[in-house]
Amino acid sequence: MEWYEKFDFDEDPFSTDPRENHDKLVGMEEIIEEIFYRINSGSMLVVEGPEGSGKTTLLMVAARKFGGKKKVVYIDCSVLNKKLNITRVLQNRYGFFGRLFNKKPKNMILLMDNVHELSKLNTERLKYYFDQNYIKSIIFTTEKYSKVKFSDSLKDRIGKRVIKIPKLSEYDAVEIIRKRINDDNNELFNENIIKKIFKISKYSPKDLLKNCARVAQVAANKERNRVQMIDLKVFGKKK
Amino acid sequence: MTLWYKKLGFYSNPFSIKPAAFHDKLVAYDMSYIYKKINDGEILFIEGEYGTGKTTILKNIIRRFRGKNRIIYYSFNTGDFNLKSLLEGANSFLRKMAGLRVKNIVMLLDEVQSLKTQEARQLLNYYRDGTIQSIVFVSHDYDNVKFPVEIETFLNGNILRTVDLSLNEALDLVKSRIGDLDILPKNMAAKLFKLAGKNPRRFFEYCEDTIKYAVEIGDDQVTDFHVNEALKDVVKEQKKKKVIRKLAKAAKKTVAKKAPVKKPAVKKVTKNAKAKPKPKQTVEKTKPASKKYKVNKLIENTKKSGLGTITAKEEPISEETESDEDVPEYKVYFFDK
Repeated sequence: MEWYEKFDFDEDPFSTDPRENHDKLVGMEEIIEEIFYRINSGSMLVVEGPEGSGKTTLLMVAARKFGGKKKVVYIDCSVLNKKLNITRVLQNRYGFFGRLFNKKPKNMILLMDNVHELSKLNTERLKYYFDQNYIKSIIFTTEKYSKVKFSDSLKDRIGKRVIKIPKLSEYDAVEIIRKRINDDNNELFNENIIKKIFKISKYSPKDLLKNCARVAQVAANKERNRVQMIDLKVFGKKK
Repeated sequence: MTLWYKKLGFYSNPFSIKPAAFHDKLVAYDMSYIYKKINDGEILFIEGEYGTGKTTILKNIIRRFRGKNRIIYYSFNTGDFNLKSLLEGANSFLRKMAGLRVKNIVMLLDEVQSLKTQEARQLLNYYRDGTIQSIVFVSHDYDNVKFPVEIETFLNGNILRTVDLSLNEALDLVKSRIGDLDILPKNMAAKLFKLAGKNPRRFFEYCEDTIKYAVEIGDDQVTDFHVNEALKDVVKEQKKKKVIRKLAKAAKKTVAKKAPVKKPAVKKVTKNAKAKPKPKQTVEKTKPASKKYKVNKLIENTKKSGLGTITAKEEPISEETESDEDVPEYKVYFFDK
């Protein structure tokens, strides 16, 4: 029996999988609006944020919004081990004959994750396709824009369109957990406990969720239906 | 939430920076001059800073010469360059069956700074053959390109440089994008143009951001307030630069007056010298004049060189293009490995 079943959950409520949690973002309304606008108006945008701050989840939100017409392509650059062939990526939406006749798509939306992993050569053709309107808009995400190896002309096209994911406040952290467990009455987690865990996990939402899951597991093992301050000792020992 | 440009009645973003999204009439350049050079079978080199319209010039050339399998566009930084297969790709099936070779190709080569000398020689061989009628090289700086001497002699006098727009031309650009809407008054457009450092691409970006901000608030016209709010960072930087420039000037004066050691003043000079980007630009601008070859400046308004005006000759071309709005029909050949 999994720990979350003891609390009457069917699934792990603290899952960190971006694909499942696209509707549970907190404190990102402005960024989401900006991303939607940039995609609509046809430009490039770089989203910058540390690990676990929700970059991939943001892209998933965009994919949800604009998906469905074979227009959106999501590429995780950290998984690529070969050269990225944008031509092939764009043509993949066509069947065999489309590819045979070298059909070119129009107004595609590219979502590129972890672009700092890309080498310079891989990004070159992006510029051409963007200029010729085969690609309508591109959203890049990276941990640090200064580390990205784009060519100068591509950087010039991006210009100052770089936004940083803001740091979460304590209040947002509480709201995240509340959203996850539908718990308005402080049944499972006390507000103060959440804030403390948030501090321990160094203000990273991903770590917060992971740590909450860990604490809840401890509580479940002790056959309690509430997380208490004593359970936080799990982290204390490591320090 | 409706998008700002839809509120104003546009279907898509009127300030898109993509050369392909709008059939821009080039404002400051005399395209007929370039077309003539290409028809005469000469080799051209177009240089210019980022965002000043190199790709847009190429785009216009493509539109002019497309449709007869004559145009090959290739961007160099993609890696492997195989000229033979590029040329074969431009040959039609029937011609291939008949054993005929391609003729009179117009090559457009982008980002030539990574062109190797061997490849350049290969190009020149085909050019002498007659398979290539004319070549247009594009790069942001001529000095960065390593051409073999043979090509340099061909290039003599055909180095074209994109020029800074004048204010009137910038206003024309805005007009071509949004028509006669009075949302962006002239003085505000001038202010944005100044902020953008006379760079057309930056200018469009700033226009987009300010108008977006104004419309979302619910105002009909852009004012100083909108500019300052929407472009906070840019305005701040501008002010910083101004202060630095003033300080530098003051420091220079003090140093000049009291040449012997005064520590604080000297410190200021060294700091500012690092932070100042402006003087470098001026140096770059003066460089082309010192080159061996003459630089043709294609400004519309220059009275010295009577290159003629664009407007009369441009119109028939734009009429053609308005009819077909879809993806351009010209073929673009890539080489993949």
